[in-house]
This record gives sequence, structure tokens and C-alpha cells, in this order.
Amino acid sequence: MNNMAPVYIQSYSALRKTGMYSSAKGHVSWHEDQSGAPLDVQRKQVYEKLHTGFGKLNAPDKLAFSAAALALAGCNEYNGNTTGICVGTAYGSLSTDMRYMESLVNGFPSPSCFAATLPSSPVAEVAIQFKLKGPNRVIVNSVASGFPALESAIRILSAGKAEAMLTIVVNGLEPVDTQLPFIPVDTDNNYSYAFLLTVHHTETGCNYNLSLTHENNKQNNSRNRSEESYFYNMLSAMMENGTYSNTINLDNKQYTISIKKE
Amino acid sequence: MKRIVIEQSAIVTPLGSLSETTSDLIEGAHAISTDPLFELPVPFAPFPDTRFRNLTECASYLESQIDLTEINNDSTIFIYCTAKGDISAVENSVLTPDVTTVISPLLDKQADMLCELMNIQPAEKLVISNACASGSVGIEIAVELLRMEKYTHALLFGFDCLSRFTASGFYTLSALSDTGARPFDAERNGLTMGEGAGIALLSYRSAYEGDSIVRGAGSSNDANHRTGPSRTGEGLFSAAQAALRDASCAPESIGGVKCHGTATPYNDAMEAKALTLLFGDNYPPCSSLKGAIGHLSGAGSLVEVLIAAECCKRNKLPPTIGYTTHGVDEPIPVSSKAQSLLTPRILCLAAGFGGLNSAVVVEEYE
Repeated sequence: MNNMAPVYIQSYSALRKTGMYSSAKGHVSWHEDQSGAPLDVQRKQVYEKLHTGFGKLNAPDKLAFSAAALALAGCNEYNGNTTGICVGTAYGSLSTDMRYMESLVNGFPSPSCFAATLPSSPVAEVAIQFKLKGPNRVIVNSVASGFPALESAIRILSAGKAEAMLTIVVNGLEPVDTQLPFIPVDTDNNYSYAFLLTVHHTETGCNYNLSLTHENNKQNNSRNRSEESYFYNMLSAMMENGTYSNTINLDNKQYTISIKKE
Repeated sequence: MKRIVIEQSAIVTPLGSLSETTSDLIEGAHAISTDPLFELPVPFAPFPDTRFRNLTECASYLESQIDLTEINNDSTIFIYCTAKGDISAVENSVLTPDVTTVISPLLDKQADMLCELMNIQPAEKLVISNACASGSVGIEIAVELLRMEKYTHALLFGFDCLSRFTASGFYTLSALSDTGARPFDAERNGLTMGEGAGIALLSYRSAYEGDSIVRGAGSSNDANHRTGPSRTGEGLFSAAQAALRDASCAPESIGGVKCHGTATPYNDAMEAKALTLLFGDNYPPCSSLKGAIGHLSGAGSLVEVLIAAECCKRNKLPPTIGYTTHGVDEPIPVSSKAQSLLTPRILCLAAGFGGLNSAVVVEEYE
């Protein structure tokens, strides 16, 4: 297999039940009255500019936009024309699908709701707001979507198809939908992570060297565990000491990941 | 030199199999039915047999059209390309919540089911959902992985269920034509939905004369609007440029263009601008298939690439059904009758909601 080009994480962010995290701002706890965090995130908590449609965004779009805004806030060395977006999303737009279907049954199908009934909807939201015009990939592999999305972003960069890739890992389900019979029981934790990757060092970025590979292993079908805990451990290690390495068994794959500050 | 070869493929469209569909398209046939689309006053292009609306029935048929017995599971990736998958599973979850659905609404579960049905255990499964560009983006990913030699084969499956959900959604957006899609025509007033699915087995090997190959692929985003295309065409132009770069092809080496050509006023105007940015005034012949077989949603860009590959073999570009009076500002040469390709190499364009653009170059290897 051909070797991949070196790839660097320049900035990162996360929204999860314990608060918001970003390479620019560190860790920020939710307000005490934000019982629905991170779904109840407010625009002014993550983005300084106006975004009049923020309050109407569906769960995955709001979480993806917020993670993107936090990650990009501390980084001004990317060119939108050559920056793409990869999204790994566990359940895509499932909640919006359910709401749209309910509106249809009630006789008043909503066009604005329908427009967000796509797993790729977060890409649209982020691309439009931040003017990112590079390649896009949307991977919907249940709780093992984020690592394939990161791998896809690395491949795009290695192939020279973009200079930077914003990779977003997002799960946005409305609380009512976590009770659906086909949703695994551990998915009530809405979350989003964003990583801005480049093939070059930058002057103001984090410059964490990222290596991510996987070997397939059909005997190791551990898809019932959410990948969110791995991403949280990764982010915590990056924030604390700038390095992280792990071997992760998830969804018939064994991922080997290494992050080192240069 | 190694190439990405389309080893086997099969489709089912409103006009039938790959061979039947290509022949009918070249002869100027269409499959637009005046039967209402889920009680909506708009035409659509239905499957030749309603059983194909069922994901399992459709997959069984397509699998029966190709031979997967020789593939090495350990070096094969399966890529399910879809915008919404079998969305009828979500409909059933709302309409009959107490009944366990046979087909899961979760796309990864649908991918599992497809592999089980086709009796394959691929090393990796991937679900790609890039709106109406899902199929061609799936091809782009397969090209990347095969060139890296991570896998020897990539099996792509494209399917989107035409349902009350999607039909009503496009209708509420006023995107559907009440008379039938007329791509690039002055009287065009919207798209016509169609039913279709496809499967393709790709590999990376030395190509031989007559092989159908994927020469390259590229993608981009408009960064402009959630449901509408950019007004400038720059996004699709950028995707086409990326595909040509990936294919190491100059614009003048393209023998024909299989346009996205939805027949909405804005899409076709945008696409004509993109083609002008790419080709200047040296256009190859251009055609849209959607006036004949409708818009197949996320599966469409895979199905249409496979049709384009077959057109390369026959050295023909089909006519654009519904096109009679030129209706875009740029003088792109929209085919109103079947014509020979300048060379057996077609640029296939796709554009999806959210400004997701994709382009694939296919050719017959000479």
C-alpha cells in the first residue's frame, strides 16, 4: 500500500455533555441552566458573528456548525477555496426524517424540514457559513463513522485534492428518538468534534502530527460501543500533553492512531 | 499502466437493464409515466416492475446479473451509495411504530443486509451519503482506495427508494415538473423523479482494449445554498476540473458530457455556465438522461456513470428527451438526437443538495 503524506491537526474542538472544548479556548463548562447540553448550545457561545438561522438548525447541523465554529475560530491560515469537509455521522438526519414524516402524516409537510432530511445536511451548513469549497465526504456508519471520516480526509489531503480538510464527527438525535427500537441504548449522548487537518505546518496552528491507519478484522465486531469515548480520550490527551496513541477495536477494524506535537 | 476497470456492472432503471436502458436511450425512448406520483399531480419514471421498489428484491435482481463468486472478500470493500436509502423504513416507523420493520432505517444496517443477501463478507463496509452525488462520490472513494492498493476490488451499490417521503418533499419545494422534465429547454419547469438502482465491481489492473475504465473523479462544494445550485457554476466547474486533473485529461480530450441536467431552471442554467467555464466555446456534445428515466436521487450518479460507460462502448451519446428549444444563456450543444462521441470518453456530472458537486470521467480503453 502506498504511504500517506504527513498530516497535521491545526485546530480542534468538541461539544459533549461535560462542556465545550477547543484548541483556542480550552475547556468551557456548560451554564448550570443548560440541562439539554450540548443540544441547547447558544450561538454566542460558539460563534461571534451573526447567524440568524442558528436557532432553527436541526440537532446534527447545530452541533456540527458549533464544532466547526469553535475549531475555525482559532485558525486563520486556511483557504476556503481549497478546504473540504468530511463528516462522520452516526445516525445522519434521522430525527429530522421522523419530524418530516410526522408533518407529512399530519397533512402539512414542511419544505424547510425536508431540506434538512439528508445526512449531508451538516456539510451544507458548514460549507455555506465558512465558505469551504473543497471536496466533501459524508460517511454514515453508525457509531463507527468518525474514524472512517478522518481516514477519508487524510486520503484526500495525501492525494493533493485539498490543502486542508475540516473533519466533523457528529451525532445529533432528539431525546425522543433515542427510544426508537432500532437505536442502540447507549446513544443518548449527543456530541460533535471537529478537526482541521493540513498537509503543511502552519505558523499559528497546533501542528500535531496525525497518523491513522486500520487493519480489517472481521472477528472483532464491536460496533455496539460508541466511538465518542475514544474521541474524548484523544482530545483530553491532546489538551493535556500534546500526544496520544492508541489501538482501537471498532466495527471490524483495528485502528492505530498516533498524535504527536511537533 | 494500471487503470480502474469496471469489471462488472448491472442496473435497473425505468427502461430496464443496462443494455436495454442504453439502447432505448440512444433510440430516444423514455419511460415517463403519466400515472400520478403518490397522489401528486406530477409524472414520474417508474421501475418496470414494482417489486424493485423493495430494497431486498432490487438487490437480489442486481446480484443475479453479475458474478461475485470469484471475489476475495478479504480484499474487497463494499460501498453503499445512497442519499436516503430505503426511506420507507422511516415511513413505517412513524405510520406503524409498534411493528418491527424488516428493513432497518439505519443505513449501515441496510449495508449489512445487502452484503448478507449477496452472500459476501467484505473486509470493509462504507456508507456514503453525499445527497444526489452519492454514487459518483462513492466511485471517487473507490478510485482512491484501489489506487492505494488497500483493496483489490470495490463493490458499489446505489439505491434510493422513491417514496411518499421523497416525492412529497420535492413537491413542497416546488421542484417537480407537472409535465415531465425537459433538461436545458426553454420551457423546462422542474425535475421528474425516477426509480433506479445499480451495482458495479471495480478493480485496479492493467487495462485491455475494450475495457470500461474510470479514468478519474473529483468533487467540490458550492458553499452557496442548501437546496439551490450556485448561480455562477463555479462549484461544478471546480469538480469537473478536479476530475480531469485526476484523470490526467485535458478538456479537449472529452468526447461528450453526461450532464446532471435535472431540468430545474436554476440547475440547468448553472450547469451551462460550468460547462462554458470548462470548455470555453469548444464544447463537446452534451446530454441529460433525466428527461427519459427521471432523477434517481443518490443512486442516479452511479447508474448514469454506468450508462455513460456503456455509451462509450457504443460510441454514442443519447438524445436529451424533452429538449426542443434552447433554454440556457450559453450555447452548449445539447443533443436533440443520438450522436457519435468525439472520442469514447465521457465526463459525467452530478450536483446535490447542499452544493455537493461531483464529476467522473469514464472511457472505453483503447
